[in-house]
Amino acid sequence: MMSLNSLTTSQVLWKQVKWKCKAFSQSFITLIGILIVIQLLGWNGSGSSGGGSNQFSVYIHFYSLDMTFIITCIWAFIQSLLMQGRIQQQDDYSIVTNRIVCNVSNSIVVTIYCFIATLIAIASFYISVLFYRLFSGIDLIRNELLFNPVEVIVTFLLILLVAASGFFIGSAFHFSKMFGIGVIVLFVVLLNLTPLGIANVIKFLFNGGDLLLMLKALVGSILIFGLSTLMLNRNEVTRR
Amino acid sequence: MNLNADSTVPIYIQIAEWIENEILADRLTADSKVYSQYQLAEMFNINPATAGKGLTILLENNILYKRRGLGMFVQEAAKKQIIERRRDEKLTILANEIVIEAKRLFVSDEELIELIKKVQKGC
Amino acid sequence: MAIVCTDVYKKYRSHEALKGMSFTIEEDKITGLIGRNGAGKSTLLKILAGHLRSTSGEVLLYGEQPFNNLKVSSNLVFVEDTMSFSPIFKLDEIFQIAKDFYPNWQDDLARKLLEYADISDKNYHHKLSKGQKSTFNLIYGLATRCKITLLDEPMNGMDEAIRSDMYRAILKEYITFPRTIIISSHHLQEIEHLIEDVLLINQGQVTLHAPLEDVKGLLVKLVGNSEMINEWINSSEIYYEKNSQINGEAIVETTSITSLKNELIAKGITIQPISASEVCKYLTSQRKGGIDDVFK
Repeated sequence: MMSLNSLTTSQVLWKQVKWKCKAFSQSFITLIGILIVIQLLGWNGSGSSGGGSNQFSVYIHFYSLDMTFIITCIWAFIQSLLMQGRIQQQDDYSIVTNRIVCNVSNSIVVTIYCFIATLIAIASFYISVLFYRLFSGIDLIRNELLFNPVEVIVTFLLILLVAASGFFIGSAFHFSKMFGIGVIVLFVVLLNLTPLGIANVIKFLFNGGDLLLMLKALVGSILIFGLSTLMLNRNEVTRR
Repeated sequence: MNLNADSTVPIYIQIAEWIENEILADRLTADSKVYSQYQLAEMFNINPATAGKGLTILLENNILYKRRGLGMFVQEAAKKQIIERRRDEKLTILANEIVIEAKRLFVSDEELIELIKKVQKGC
Repeated sequence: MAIVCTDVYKKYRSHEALKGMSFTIEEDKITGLIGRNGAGKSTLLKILAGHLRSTSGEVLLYGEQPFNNLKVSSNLVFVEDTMSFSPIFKLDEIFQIAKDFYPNWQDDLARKLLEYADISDKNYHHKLSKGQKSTFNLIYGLATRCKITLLDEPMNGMDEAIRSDMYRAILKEYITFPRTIIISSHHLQEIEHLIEDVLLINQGQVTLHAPLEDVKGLLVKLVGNSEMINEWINSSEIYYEKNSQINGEAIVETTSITSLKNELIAKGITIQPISASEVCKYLTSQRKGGIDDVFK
């Protein structure tokens, strides 16, 4: 038919990604806000030790990004959980969409914001270095001068994996409340009761070095996103 | 002109009658172009298809003729035709009604004709 | 044929919303989807829009089934009460998004209509009143110029004043850019002038699908002495009857009395036409006696 519109799948997909990212930009402010508060309150996983003798004393403070990392993970988890909520998804039906495009674009958006969140988390380190320099005249010494790209990627992929889990749980709830609760129960059971405890999961991930970790996290995330998309493919739009 | 949505007469016939009235009043003369169904739709706030039906009726009754790609036009003999037809139709209906009513009220044929003559003199 | 439905069923656990609906709708026609509350109008529209899946049967829009279909989605807009937009964007930005997704989007028209309706484009969709939401949703739907436009009771909550304006807006847009429109309502009289065909449904089935004038002329009202009426009319053809001391009334099919017209008039029974809206009401009512039956 001459007068019918025909947008290709990829066109619609990238348009959706564009607008969803725009819609998302506000949430970063929340993240930044929380991270700043963390830094100011000094809850940044730092520790110190000191010692000395007659002539001199040494105080060693060490700061790490652990807390930042954890906060970012939690934030990413919650955001992707919400993204797959029933109410959010229905907004898509006022524009051109189908279920695959909707879920895939959401997955892409999650990936993008995880990446940006990683950058923010890392940037917050530099900012704290700056603050310390400005306010206390202390120079922080770091392992290396610049960032280790592997570290960045590892951080990103771990955050992504956490976000993917949130995505999956959100999708599960969307699919059916019972299923969502079932998934959570299953998760808790698996982690606490069976031999497959949290320690094992972490061991599995971190065994074998960085590269393997990256691979595991990447594949894991893709699998999870794919599963969520499949799960919601036949979903009906129900009463809002 | 406002359409009577509650009337017994379907809207497309009301449209046809309106155009006929325009012809009778010489606002639409022989061989002049009449409004298109879309113009009528806008003017009367109705669906174009309904307006189109009205035009089709007039076409079938030889009040209008079509010129390909140009639209609908008024037939030369349209005005005369309309007058004749209305005369027959309307008066026949009225005559029917008065005869039936007369029967119901037990009025004889002669009395009825007398009554009509009286009314004519009065007008 | 723009829309073809064949034997469509929609079953829920507790009840059957659609029971074997079959109909076809031609391209670029405005069809009124009429039915009582609970007849299945919204369910049908949601299936056409691809929001719900039919339990069985075939639904084709321009030859494609609508569920999870990008091609159908790009050519269909479904305007209804619960239509929602991302709460982050202002109405202004929603228009920008629409422009991106719908190649035929009429930006100018949309903004002017919004202005006319006294709604600021700096406002947010979730902050609008019910009437304003309906107005915005309708403007949005019209401006997308989708070949298939489904309107589910679009005037819900709108003031009288703006209602007729919005009906006129639909008509004008339709004239400028014809498209297949289905507008559902349980007030046929409001949309009579706008629609071409009536699709009357009742309890999940199609009762009637015909041009408006045909629907109007389907039934007539006989007013006169009840005994006389019953004498001439077979009781199975009566859709409704009322026996009172003043005058009995009966609603019957026009075809059943065409040959008897003169006799009926002679017996003092008047034949009155009824509105299309009333025809629909009688065709879908359960009892022959109407509400008076309850009080008997």
